[in-house]
Amino acid sequence: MPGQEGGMAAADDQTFVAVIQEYAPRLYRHLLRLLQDPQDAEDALQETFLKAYQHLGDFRGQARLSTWLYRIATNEALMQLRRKNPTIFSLEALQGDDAYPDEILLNQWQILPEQAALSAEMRQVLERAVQRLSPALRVVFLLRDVEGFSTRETAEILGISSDAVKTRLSRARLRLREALARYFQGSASQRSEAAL
Amino acid sequence: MSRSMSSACRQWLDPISQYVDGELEEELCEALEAHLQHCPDCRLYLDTLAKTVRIVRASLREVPIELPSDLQERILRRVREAKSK
Ligand SMILES: [Zn+2]
Repeated sequence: MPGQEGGMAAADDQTFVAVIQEYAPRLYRHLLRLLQDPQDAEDALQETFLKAYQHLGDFRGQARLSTWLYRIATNEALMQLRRKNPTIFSLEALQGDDAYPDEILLNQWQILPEQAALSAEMRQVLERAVQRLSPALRVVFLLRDVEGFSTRETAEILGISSDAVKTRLSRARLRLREALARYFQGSASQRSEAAL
Repeated sequence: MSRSMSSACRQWLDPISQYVDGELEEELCEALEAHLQHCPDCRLYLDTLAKTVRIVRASLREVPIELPSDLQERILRRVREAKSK
């Protein structure tokens, strides 16, 4: 492919190794949460860096490097998910995301968030709740609340509107909040039982 | 003690999420704040949603990451292979 040689020659090997070292762990964790399978995550990670290397010439000067890499990695993962289940992003599947649960628990949380976050059990509750999200909600939630991209950056990475990002994020957070509400309710009743 | 939210309040769920991020447009923001003044359920939802976001940030972002052994090497090998083609 003679057209690509310029880009490859321009790509500095050592810089690229440094890019892999810096971003591979974060991207791998992101892909693992998206794909829920270590082998799929590894394949997607390899594809990501291969594509990044081949298109390094296109990158110069554009968006932040991390946004660019996350866009490649996220698209790779979404492509894999679509290949396995072509209806995953169908209109019907997305409509399911709009449905609010019948019940929205309203119990008080007597906790300090940063302290609660330290518990390994809490982390498990969260990871499981993330896995239960539909892929369309999960990807937005991961980019915004876990990886820390802004609404605009997330919209850019996914090629959707900022409004769609906000709505999906709200629906994802609602489900995560529900999982935590149930967890805190359970541990509060355990405590009062223990006190009896 | 837990209750469930009234259907009338459900219209505020999406705005509350944007409010947590400070991304709710001004007009809606004023309307929401007026509603919050006399709605303990939406105040509780706001409080627990904000706590959810803080817990997620403090928990899931901090998970130590270990790459499978050799993965970095395998990536480099594939990149070099593609380069020499
Ligand atoms: Zn209300």
